[in-house]
Amino acid sequence: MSGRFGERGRELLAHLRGVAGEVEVFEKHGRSRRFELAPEGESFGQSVEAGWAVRGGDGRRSWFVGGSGELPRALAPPPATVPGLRLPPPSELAPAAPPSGLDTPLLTESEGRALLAGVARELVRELPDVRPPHLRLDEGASEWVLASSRGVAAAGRGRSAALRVEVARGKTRLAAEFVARAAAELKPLALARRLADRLLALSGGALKGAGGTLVLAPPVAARLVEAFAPRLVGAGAERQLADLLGRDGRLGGEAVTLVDDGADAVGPLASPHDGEGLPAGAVTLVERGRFVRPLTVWWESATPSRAFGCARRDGWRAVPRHGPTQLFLAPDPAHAVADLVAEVERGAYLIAAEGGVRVDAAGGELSLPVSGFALARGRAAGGLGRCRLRGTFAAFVGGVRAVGRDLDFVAGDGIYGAPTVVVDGLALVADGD
Amino acid sequence: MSLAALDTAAVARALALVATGADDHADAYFEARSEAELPAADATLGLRVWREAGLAVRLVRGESSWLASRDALDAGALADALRSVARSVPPAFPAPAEAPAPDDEPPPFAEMAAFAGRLENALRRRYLAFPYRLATRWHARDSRVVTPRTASDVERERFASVDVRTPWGRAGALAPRLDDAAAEALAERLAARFRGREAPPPEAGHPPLLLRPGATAVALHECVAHALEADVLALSGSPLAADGLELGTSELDVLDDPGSAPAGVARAFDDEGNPTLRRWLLRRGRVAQPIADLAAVRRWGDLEAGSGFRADRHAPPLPRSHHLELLAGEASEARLLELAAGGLEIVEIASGTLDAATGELGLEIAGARRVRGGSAVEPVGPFRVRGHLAALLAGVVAVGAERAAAGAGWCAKAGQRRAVWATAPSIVVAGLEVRA
Repeated sequence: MSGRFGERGRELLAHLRGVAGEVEVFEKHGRSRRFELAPEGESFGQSVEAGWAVRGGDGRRSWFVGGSGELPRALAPPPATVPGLRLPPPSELAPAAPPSGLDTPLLTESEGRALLAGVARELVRELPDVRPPHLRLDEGASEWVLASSRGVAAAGRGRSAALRVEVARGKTRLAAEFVARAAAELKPLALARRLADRLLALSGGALKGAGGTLVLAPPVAARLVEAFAPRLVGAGAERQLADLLGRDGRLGGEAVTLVDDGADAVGPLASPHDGEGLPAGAVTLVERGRFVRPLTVWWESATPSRAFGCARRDGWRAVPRHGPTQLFLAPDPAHAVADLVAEVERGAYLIAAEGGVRVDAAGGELSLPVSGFALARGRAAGGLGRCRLRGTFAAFVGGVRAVGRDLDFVAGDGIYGAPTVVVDGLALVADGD
Repeated sequence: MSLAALDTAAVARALALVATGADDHADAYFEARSEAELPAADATLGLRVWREAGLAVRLVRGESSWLASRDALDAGALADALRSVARSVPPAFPAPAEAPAPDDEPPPFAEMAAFAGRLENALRRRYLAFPYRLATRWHARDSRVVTPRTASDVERERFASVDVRTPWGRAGALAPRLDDAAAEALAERLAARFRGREAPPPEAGHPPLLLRPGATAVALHECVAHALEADVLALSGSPLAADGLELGTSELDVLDDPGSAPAGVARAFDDEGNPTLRRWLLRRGRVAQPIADLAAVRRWGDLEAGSGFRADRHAPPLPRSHHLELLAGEASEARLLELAAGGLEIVEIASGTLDAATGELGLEIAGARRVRGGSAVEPVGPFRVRGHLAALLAGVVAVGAERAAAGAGWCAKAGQRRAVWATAPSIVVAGLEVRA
């Protein structure tokens, strides 16, 4: 690539000065690695990606052009169509510090191979009769720069890794995904134990005696947060929450605090800026059970230049979309997970979501395939087998009794997080009921 | 958007320096693609255009493979990708004499803009009016594959896709052009959904199902195409073991033939540079040939490549269907309705899934009509069809005499999204479970 990163963007902005309305230029460079280990062989992929996007328009019409390779120095915009374009003004807020770990090198071919072989090896140690797994690790790093005719200028870096595993033991099969900022954070022994726990949980038959209090591990609770999130977004959120809100504005128990924070360093996609170049930061939506405010876009704010950004931009091909960035149920440092589990006299500990949340058309009833163990006097009392978590959003947010200190995230349409949650009011049923 | 100027001889010489082992395979995949989207009027942004070009180099050695992809179409990017996959680095790779320059082929903006009016007219002709959000997309891709010994012709694909969101669900469609025929076909599907939007679902049971061509295409894509992909068959042993297996009734003659796909999306070569073929999948209900790519041929031997397709340059090729065909049977329209009496007429399948390990099939139906007195009458609301793929294929009691080209839709095998096509008649299936 010729010229300093971002230099061409400024040149193109100057070139497009005569175009009606405002213009924004976005450039992104990235590199990624893919390692795959399967019974039929292994593969190694390496991509170098480069792309750009320009959007422009006025209050009535707009256009978008994206392309691979180097940003052109000149551009003939396509015909503009409705709707109009809204580009944010420069922010008065200071961006957060970038998360750590961005400089860690991507895994080399031999390191990637060793990680996957390590997971497979440890899994066999945990469960000798497991079939050879299919493992796929994707790791990537990127940098981007953005400038607009309104004066917004921002740059950022990103980093993420995802390990997908398909494994079977007897008739029990599962597909799992683990996300982290860097592949080096994924530890074979810990991953193998989590997979072994899920396989054992899925092959059990202890569901019948598993009523009572439910303990939801972060991957399960985070999926419920993800399903609930659309109700918290946009100026009309209060209307969407009407059936859940009490007269005092209360939505749930004291343990429920929901925050969207694209800059939270614990989240795997933490970034000081959002996809439109605005500073990202913590926006408390629900505090100690009380609804505070919806997640809104900068133009819905009374002071747009002091609003945190919530635009996601998944790559140069993607048009920025407003919504949750890293939305999570806040942890409570006072509660260790082991203590939460030990206090359950009779119930179940749900350790993983085995699919996505299904919400009925009316939006009240939810259903999620899960795996876990029955609990008796704070101890595991057998795997539950294939089962579903069922209930309503009201029961979920109203039934949270306590949360742990172990915040973790899952990837979906955005990033969603939760700590371990103790909840009453949700039910477990056999899968297929 | 021409890749014809590619210096294939220089690329072939460079690949020969990478494929140094006796059993090595190396290929270079070049692509130039563009897309345009006219979004719904209430979207956050107007007309969108994407143009991209790049390449990928692959080396397969034994049971290992290496793939390097770049977002550029020039000698530097090619040399860089070659170095990434080479196991021992030669001093220099011969550079192509000339880098191909993608043409600036404009998308058919006028046709995209006019489609909203065509669809509205088609709905009015059915006395229907309801709110919906329409987005239209145009897709263009040129691709070319070079190996040390061969170079494919430039493959050109041009087609449109449509996304409609209504208060009672979302519908997608693929079509070679955004013409009146595409508008009529989409309007018919939307009409079925509209009629069924507030209707109760059918009673649980096992009624006969009359699948119209679009629904037949989706069902066969799940039950025949996916089931006979070499990598899926390999989950339970050698794909060769499926040869001659009785999978369906003798009414079923199913092929995958990329060369006879609708104009604009027909393929003479796959994405590994192998000529495509008219591949018999089922002959009179028995397995004739699995869908195979190069990896399957290398591993299992007695298979024929020609069905290795990629989502894009960054993804490895996989064995996949491109254009599925069910040959016409003898059943007239009246006979189909007679056999489906007491059952349900299904115009579209909203989505389908096949559990590759168990063969369990799930089809989501947005709306249908009861078949009574020789015609489809009263609408029913959304429901699911469940069963084993063998039960569907063994349950086909009649195949219609009239075939129609039907875009089977987007297939997302292994997360790689590709448009797949089909030509099929209506069929009647008995014995599948229907539940709300």
